[in-house]
Amino acid sequence: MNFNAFSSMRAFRIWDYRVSHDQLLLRSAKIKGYNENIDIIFYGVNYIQLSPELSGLTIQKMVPPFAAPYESVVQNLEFEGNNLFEIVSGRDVYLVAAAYVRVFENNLEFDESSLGQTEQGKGLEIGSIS
Amino acid sequence: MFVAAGTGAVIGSGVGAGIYLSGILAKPTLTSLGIAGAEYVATHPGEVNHAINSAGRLVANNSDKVERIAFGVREHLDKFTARVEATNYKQWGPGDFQSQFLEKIASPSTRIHFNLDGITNVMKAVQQGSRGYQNAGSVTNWELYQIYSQPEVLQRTTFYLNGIVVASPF
Repeated sequence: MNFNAFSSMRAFRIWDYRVSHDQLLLRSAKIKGYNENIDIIFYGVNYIQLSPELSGLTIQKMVPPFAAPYESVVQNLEFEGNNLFEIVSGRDVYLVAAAYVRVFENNLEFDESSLGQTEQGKGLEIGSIS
Repeated sequence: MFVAAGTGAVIGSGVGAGIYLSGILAKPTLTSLGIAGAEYVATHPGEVNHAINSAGRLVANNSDKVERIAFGVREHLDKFTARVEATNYKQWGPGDFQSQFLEKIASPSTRIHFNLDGITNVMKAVQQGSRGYQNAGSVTNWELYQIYSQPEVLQRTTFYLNGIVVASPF
């Protein structure tokens, strides 16, 4: 099972969630030593099992066959566009079911979310996992 | 596929070794759900390219150039998409959704299937959608407004309510 992944040593937090297109934002906020936020946006989210704070993370799309946690997740994964992403932080392993993930760098302020922004407003896209 | 530069790092490959609670899942590919012939004709207006499979059911001819796309509120979207043999944004891949949407609906070969389930007041949704992508309240409102405001696109749109084709609300 080969797949690509995104990894960062920075600390992330669950920052925002929007019902529209079921978007979940994890942010590593710009702080001393880092001039930009890293915003990880999951689209089409239908399952979240995640700590609100993550000290470093690696995200990778799981490739079937794999064990899914709940029947509802299994049912959602029957639709071709839905995927299961594994998030490893330290020794902990979390799961998010979503369609795809996009990662941006931006200079948004603490109270500004990249969800709901125009494409340009989200910042510089540095990658995606699908 | 992950393509990255900057702060993040790319890891080439790995093994999804998570062990969770239930049995092994083998994800099936999306296949034709084989809707019955009469329903197929109703839900595929203007599409003459079809074939009859071995079970005597009309199925889409994948060789045609017609693209079917589906919209609606999230609670019903995936099942609806599969039922009308279309795709939705989840299958379009990562990218600027606004551009993807406008590009797809602008194509004369695109057939649009819009599920009205869960939209209690269509004209209010359109009104909210007219405020623009960022201020529409929901992406669905904006999508509905885009279809409503472009007669040529509206002509290629089939609306559904409670699982059946209904007249355009506009």
